Amino acid sequence: MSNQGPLLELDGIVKRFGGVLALDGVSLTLERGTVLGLIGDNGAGKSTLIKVVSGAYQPDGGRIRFDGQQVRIVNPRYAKTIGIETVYQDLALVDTLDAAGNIFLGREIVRYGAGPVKVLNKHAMQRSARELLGRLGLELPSSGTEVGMLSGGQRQSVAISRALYTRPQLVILDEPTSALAVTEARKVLEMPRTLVAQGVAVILISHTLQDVLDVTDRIVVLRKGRKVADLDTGATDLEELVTYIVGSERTRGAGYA
Amino acid sequence: MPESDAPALERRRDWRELALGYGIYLVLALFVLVMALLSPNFLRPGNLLNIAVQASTVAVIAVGATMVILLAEIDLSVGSVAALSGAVTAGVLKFAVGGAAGGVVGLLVAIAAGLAVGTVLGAINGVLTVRGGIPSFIVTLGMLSIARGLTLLYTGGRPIFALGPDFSVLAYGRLATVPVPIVILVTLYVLAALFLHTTQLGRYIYAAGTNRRAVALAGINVDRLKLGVFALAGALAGLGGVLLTSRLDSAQPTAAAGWELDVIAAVVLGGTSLYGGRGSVVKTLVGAIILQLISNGLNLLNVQAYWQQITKGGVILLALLLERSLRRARGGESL
Amino acid sequence: MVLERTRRWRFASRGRAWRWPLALVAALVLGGAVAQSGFTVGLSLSTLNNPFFVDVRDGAQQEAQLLGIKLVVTDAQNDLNKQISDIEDLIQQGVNVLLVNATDSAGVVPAVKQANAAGIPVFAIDRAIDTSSGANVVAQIASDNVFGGKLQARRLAQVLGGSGNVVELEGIPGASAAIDRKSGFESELKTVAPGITILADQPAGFDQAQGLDVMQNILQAQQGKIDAVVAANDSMAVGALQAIQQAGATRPNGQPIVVIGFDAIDQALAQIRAGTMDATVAQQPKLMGRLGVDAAYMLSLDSLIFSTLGNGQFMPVEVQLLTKDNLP
Repeated sequence: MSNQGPLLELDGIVKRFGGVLALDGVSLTLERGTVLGLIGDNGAGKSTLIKVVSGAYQPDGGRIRFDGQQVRIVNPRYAKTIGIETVYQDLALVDTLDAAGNIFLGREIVRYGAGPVKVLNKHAMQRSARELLGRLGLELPSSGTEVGMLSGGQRQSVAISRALYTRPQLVILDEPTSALAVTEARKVLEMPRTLVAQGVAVILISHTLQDVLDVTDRIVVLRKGRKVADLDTGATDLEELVTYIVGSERTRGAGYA
Repeated sequence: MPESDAPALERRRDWRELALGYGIYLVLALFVLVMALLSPNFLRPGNLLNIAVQASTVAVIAVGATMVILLAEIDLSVGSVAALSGAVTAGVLKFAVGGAAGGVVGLLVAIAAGLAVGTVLGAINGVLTVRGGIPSFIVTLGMLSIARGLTLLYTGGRPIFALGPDFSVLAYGRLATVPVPIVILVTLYVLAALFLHTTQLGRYIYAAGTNRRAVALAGINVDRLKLGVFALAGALAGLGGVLLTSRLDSAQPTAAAGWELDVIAAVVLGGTSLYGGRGSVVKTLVGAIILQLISNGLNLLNVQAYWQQITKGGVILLALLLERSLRRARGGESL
Repeated sequence: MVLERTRRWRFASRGRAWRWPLALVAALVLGGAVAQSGFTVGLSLSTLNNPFFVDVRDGAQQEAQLLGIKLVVTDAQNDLNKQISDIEDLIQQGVNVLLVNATDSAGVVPAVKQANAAGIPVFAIDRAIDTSSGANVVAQIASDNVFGGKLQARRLAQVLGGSGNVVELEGIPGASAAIDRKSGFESELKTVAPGITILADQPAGFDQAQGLDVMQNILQAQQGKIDAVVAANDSMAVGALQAIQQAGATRPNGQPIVVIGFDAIDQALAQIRAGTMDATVAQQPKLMGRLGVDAAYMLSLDSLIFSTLGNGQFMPVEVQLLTKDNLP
């Protein structure tokens, strides 16, 4: 690990879908141990940009440097191996598996195997899952309980634990509070700070601008596939963000979020 | 849900699992009881053994079908694929490896050829579904027709028969005192249950059937998984076809016609969800046995032909209703 | 209804069957002109998914070759819609006569009417075409299934000596061949051997696997009481025979259970030759195909040759009982 310089640098990222230019030369920099807010209206390109970083999409142009190396993030699995984890808006949990099953999905602990057939070590996975959640100050829902039967907050914990299991350097939180009740949302918003305390950098995507102002260090605003602002959170306010999002002076003063 | 509810939740889960686990067995027990009361011949060991052997061909195919349905896909081509595999095995046995003169090696070559045909057709189903982006319902409907056509072409529309006594061992031989088809059946179901419940790939099958996207995002190649499962389902359909051919000592061009419905009925009776992600292969076996038990009962009681169709459909629906209501009564359908 | 039809069929059979060879000779003598004029017969088959219809096709092809006629064969794969388009295609190709083996008696009528409108004579092969709604069919050329059932009953009475217990395996419930064979067998059995009891009467879908399963089950229910099995086709008979051999079942008197089938498929003939199966009734699908082509050919020579028959009149194709003594 080279511990100098920014963790993630995007340089002129372009992504087209047929004739539509979804990302038009977006550049941004994420410093180690910080929280970056990524905001913008629907269709501004937030999700597309995140999918490029998490390996779900391949960019049509531009360069990505991660941890000092130029990288091509060819798929989500590769993103994980270099230390980028994503917690999706819908959490991407498998409802019929239990918490440990979800945390270890795709990287199960196995006892032994012959070719592609590998026998699971369910016990070891339970134990590790419990330890992991404990480190984050969370309780493991009882083993064997399908996550489909858990509350929204518990599901969120499972999804974040899963992201943290590999000790990533970057965690992307995609609309983490959109499906939660207010009290649970408060709890989840403590998460970026908890993560930063463990030395992880965070990209937070949210529609709730006040949340973004509360928990981030920097804020990048996208509009129609372009970066229109890159701000120090301490030096901006709700009104300015709204102006950048909407892209018109006339709306200055109108509330957003 | 507050954390303090966790023990209560656990208790409820145990109830639910118990009910989910045993509903179908209660239905089976009930059927056995009713049949034993209606027909004095039903509980004869010979009759029970017959039922198991008769169910074995459909049950073998239903192992693959269970996995396909767990992935929220469907395979309608199994009957035709079984027919083609059986025909190829019979054809190779009779015309290529020199029939009885071919010995054990010839026999194995013929069986391998049949299984290979099933595997290839299954793999084609898989490729068209995952790469072609065509719903498996349509792909396998097409394959149903293609494989049947190929069977007719290969056999010239006529049965291939008199395959020799060695080949009959598969269907009529005994290991110690247990009929070979039952040995094959039990081995297969034990392996399938172990595979689904204790291995990584088995877990991925359930997971991908529940939330395909989540599994793909976890870095698992769902397309390859599906392709593999379709190929395996094809291979097992092939095995079913080989067993049927051995049992009949002939490959009929119309063999196993309509079996896809029996197979799916067995899987659904066993409680596997057609939406994927939930189900158990062992209960598929119980489903297949219940289906065979119905046919057996109708024969024992000498029910008139037209009434058989009505009764059969009615009893399948009744069994499903019974299984569902047992589930609900004993643990709540909270899903 | 069935009885009435049976009587008509028998009558027709006696009245006309002998004419076939004579007519053919006449046809061959007069033939050359037709062959050169590009005379074409269309044969629309319901399916080739069955050895029987493969034989019908083979017979028709052999005869067409012999007569120097062009024969176009289509296979509807048991799909009515496909058959209708097959027939439309044949009409478009300008065939002179159509032989239609209907997938469905009533369903095929619209296509037959199109042929009628185009002035193309239609013969029904094996399966009747419904003429009640105005379709014009020169003749229905089919096996006499009811008579075949009767032949089974007579053979059974002869072998069992007038008394005993028989298991009856029916075909696909509702199929006309299943109904006719069953009614012929049961009515004749009552007449010739009232002492024979039908112990069990179960459907097995004209299918060997079902025949095997069903017979295994019946053997459990009727252990040691069965003297004979009469099946509505050979596939079921062969399946039943396997069940009997596996169970080692015999007649109450210790002799082998008598098995009688229908259709004379190779599998059954091999069993009869080996002495394990008693008899079968031979339909003559090749003859049926041949006669279909002959009829078309004769019609082309003399358009009035069938005019003494009513619309859709039955022209029976002989069936015969085959035992070890008269195997082909």
